[in-house]
Amino acid sequence: MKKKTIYPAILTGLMIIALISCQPKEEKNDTKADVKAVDSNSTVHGSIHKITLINNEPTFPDVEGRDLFLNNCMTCHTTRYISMQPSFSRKIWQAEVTKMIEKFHARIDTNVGKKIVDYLVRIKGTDTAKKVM
Amino acid sequence: MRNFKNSLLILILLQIIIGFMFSSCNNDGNKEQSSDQNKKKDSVADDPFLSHYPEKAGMILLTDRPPQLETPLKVLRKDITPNESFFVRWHLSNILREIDVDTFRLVIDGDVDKPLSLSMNDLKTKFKPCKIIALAECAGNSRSLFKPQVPGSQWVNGGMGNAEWTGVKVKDILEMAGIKKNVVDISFDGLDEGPLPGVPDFVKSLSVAHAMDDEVMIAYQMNGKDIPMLNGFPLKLVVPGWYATYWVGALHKIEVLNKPFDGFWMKKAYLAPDNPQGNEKSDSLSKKMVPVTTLALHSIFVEPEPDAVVPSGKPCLVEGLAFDGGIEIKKVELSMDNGATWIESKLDPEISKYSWRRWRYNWTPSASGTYHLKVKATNAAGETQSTAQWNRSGYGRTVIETLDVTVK
Repeated sequence: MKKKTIYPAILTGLMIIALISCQPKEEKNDTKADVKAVDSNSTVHGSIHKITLINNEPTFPDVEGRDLFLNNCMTCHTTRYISMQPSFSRKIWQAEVTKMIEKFHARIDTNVGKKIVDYLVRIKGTDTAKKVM
Repeated sequence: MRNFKNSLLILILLQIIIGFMFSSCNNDGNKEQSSDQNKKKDSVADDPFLSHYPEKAGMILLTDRPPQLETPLKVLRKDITPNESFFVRWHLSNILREIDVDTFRLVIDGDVDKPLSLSMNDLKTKFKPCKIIALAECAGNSRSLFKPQVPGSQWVNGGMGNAEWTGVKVKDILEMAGIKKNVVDISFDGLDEGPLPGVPDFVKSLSVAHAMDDEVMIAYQMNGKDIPMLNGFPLKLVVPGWYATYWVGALHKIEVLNKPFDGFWMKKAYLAPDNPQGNEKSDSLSKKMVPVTTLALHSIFVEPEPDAVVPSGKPCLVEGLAFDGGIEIKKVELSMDNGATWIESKLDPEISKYSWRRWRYNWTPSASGTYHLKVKATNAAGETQSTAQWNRSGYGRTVIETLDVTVK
């Protein structure tokens, strides 16, 4: 009987440790009364000021190149950088992608860059007759 | 044996529950956001007015990572922009989200006799506080109005705000540190960081003479309150009369340099054609580009709103704002006939040297129809606005604006 209960006892012990260790650090020494909520996304907690930001990505047309566009551009910034733009010529979109690679050091190889430009031209180009977005 | 099996089952269940707790209490928000992206896509995503931004209300969303929020036109009717409505502009997605003001230090380093590490308390107690009301305007404010349109943050006119700043003169801090004789530039670094190591850190610079003038300051308060985190809490550089790109938020490091600063955000970004009105042609781009500096002379309509319909035969208040880099707005003229004839508007008293200046005119349109109103400001140096202006980045707008009003 003793042998049968020893494993659950060890596991329970481990779980108690896990429970304690996962408590958020700041709340350790403070009570909830010390937290001043400035609004639902901003708190002052003693000398600690904290905000929470929410990121909602817009929807993009599911045409050729969308995945490459999303996967690469979203590494650094929201795709709203694109959704807020008016339509532009291929030349301007190419210059934007080149700027991201050369000036901001985005890790995008030339072939992928070309496909991203194609996608941007497809969804927000002035050169194409049919616009998707 | 049965007991053992039962307790094992309970334990496994418990572990799953704990697993969930563990993952939620280690979550800093980012992971949840990316996995929830698809689910949330259509809910708030296309609502231009979002209220969930910390310490902000009713802003126009341009981007949310990093945040860029525009002040709605109706708020520009107030002489002082409330903190909750003040425009937001960051360049790098890792902006400051959490800070302990007790352990935070502003570091002054480089070519100085005595490097400094100042706490918020030091700044508030060891220096004489100073106050200034000054307009912060994004260099790209009104960019969306350029024809042909240019890429960049598509601000209308709400990429600016007027506030009272309280803080410490940069001069006083530099004097405490003791700058050496060969100093050329002073650089200012914020706590925001790029998402990848290769993304240039946001650092701006001023000449030593400019940084040592009596006006450049480090603010710890905005309109008598803590600066909102999205506007640069706990410290923001205030450079009166200069574009807000120099007003570094979450300022944490000042470096005193014995050679010209050559950082990305001074040498590669925020450059405009080297002529007084920042002009160039799209088919022959300017070869010589220089950093944007002082606010270009500009005036905008605040009321009535674009495409407004007003009754004929009744007085209608036409109101707006005019501003420059601190020279002083002397005259604001209006045209009700698309620029054929001009009349002078009435200027409100000056708020401060570096504030915008409000102008008003009581207009009684006598006949119905569509009117193209124009506004043109003149400053104390005799400068006036241009009829045409364009540059590839949409900086320093100074063109005479037109407002279409329908009279019925």
